[in-house]
Amino acid sequence: VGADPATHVALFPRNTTEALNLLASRLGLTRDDVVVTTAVEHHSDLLPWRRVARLRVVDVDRPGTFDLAAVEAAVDQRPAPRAPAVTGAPWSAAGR
Amino acid sequence: VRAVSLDEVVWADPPDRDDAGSPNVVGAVALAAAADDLRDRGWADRLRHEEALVRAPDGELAAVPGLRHLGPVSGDRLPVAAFVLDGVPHGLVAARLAQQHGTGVRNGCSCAHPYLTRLLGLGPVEVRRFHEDARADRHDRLPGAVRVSCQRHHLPGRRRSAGRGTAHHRGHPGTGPPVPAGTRRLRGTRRPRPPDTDLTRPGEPDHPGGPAVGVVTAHPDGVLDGVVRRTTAHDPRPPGRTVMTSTSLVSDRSAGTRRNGRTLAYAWSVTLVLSSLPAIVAAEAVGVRSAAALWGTLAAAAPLAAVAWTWGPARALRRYVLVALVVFGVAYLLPPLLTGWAGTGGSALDRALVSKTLFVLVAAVVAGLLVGGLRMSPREAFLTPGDMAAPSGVRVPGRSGGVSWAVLGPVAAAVLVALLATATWLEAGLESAALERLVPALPLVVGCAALNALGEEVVYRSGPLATLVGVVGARQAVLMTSVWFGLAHYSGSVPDGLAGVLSSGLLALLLGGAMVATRGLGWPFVVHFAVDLVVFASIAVLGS
Repeated sequence: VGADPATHVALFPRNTTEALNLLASRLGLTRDDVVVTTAVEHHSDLLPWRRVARLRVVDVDRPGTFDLAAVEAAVDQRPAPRAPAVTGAPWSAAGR
Repeated sequence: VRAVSLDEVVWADPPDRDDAGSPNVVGAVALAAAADDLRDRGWADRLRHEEALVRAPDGELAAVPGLRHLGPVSGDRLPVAAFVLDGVPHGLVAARLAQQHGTGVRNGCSCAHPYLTRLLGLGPVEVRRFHEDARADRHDRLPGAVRVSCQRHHLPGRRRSAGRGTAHHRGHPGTGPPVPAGTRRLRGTRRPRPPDTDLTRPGEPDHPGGPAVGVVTAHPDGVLDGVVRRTTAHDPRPPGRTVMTSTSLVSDRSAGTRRNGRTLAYAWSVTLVLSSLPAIVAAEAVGVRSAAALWGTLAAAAPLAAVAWTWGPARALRRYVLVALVVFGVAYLLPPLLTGWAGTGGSALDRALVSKTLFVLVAAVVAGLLVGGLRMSPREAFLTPGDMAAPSGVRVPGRSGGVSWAVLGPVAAAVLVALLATATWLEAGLESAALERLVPALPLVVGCAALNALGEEVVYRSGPLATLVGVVGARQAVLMTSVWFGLAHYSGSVPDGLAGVLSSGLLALLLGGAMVATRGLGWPFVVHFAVDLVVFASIAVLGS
């Protein structure tokens, strides 16, 4: 898959919830750090980040979709976020 | 870990630090197997299959009256659909699909509460109530939707004729989601059916994967039907072999209808008694003055209304009874007073503008009663524009998918305006003087049409439909309000008599259908406004 052992790490946790909790606690975030996320996330992609950092939430429009440009704007906004936590497909449009 | 003593630890660096304990060997092997499997069949094939699965539930869901498909309904999606069904709690839909149709769906707000509260349009107050109910374990009151999802091993089905009781049961009784309290009316008494071997391929074992798509449809008599799309797990046979069956969601349809029948009969009684029907009969048969007949109707309606507080089957209609009483007052007892206030000076249109302005104020009071008095949200009370691109249920031959109200609404308005305008023009004798009379009156015509359409939609449609749909179903609710609306045009309108009843009743069917399909008064208002433009223009031209 083109990974370089010098820069990439693969872990095999039991599920995505465990993986996200692991990642959130391993990145060394502080309460002052910002994580960009969206209003459509699974709880597992909200709560672990909320515990260790501040969330900057991109909201959804009326049909329930968020705009990629809004995510980009949130990423560019100051203070600069330390990590993105954005789904590829939410509850009503994808199985989680 | 690098080193541990009883009072010190030297931690390893990631990833070793995060790989403590027995490694997830099964997970790693499964991941490799999944990657191999995905590579084997080729992406083009997989994407085509996924596209078919995305479209499969769309058409079915679009055909269900009262079903609101949540989230994106077009564009790049996965084969997953979330919906809510009017008047049927999400837990009940899921429980029935699970236990009677062996169809696994998820319901509730799942694991994405912020997202679902947005899709459901819950405000801060409703979210706070959600949290309080969750804290207090009031499961039956939690908000939510139903979600169906198709998996890679599912195959889009082919519809087979809908027969009763043909669901292939594979659910385990007692394992479905909790059924909310207060919904016993809809609960069937029949036990889940055993597998129906007629619709199961010969020698086919019970599929471990279970069916994929459960869709709920409403029956013409308002009884819910469950349509189960049978799909197979890891089935090597072509999609054409897949079977789809349909069964009654209310397991014992006759019992459901019988129980509903008394409620339905009461709803019709209230609708007809509190319409102009008694006054019409009194005037035509006995020659009683209409004003006296109307007050007599109200007196007779009082004990009928009281039934809703004393008779079980009528309880669910209390809100409708209150609305029907208010609507009757607004329609028949108020106009003489409004006409009095509007005075006799000025043209017919001037007087109409004053009385229509007062009527819109009355409509605002009715809207306030629905939201404040009956504790409905503006959306529930059909007081918002609604989803103006909702599916209409109308299908055009040769095109997949139905026509949306975004198309049907403007088409209906344009056709009605064209027909009415032609009729009016012919009646005016095609003279140019008619046009000269119309132009200066245009602002008045537009004002009267807008005020009248808004007032009438709120009072005669939003209120009655919002309080009826959840109890008697969309079809009966639209029928009742349309009959009522038609009867209201027996006298004092153009045209009047039987022609007035029929034309207004048919218009009401269209407007009511638009309202329940779009869950709002956007299109009913626009179409009604378009019709009223011609009506008031004809008053300006013909001076009647």
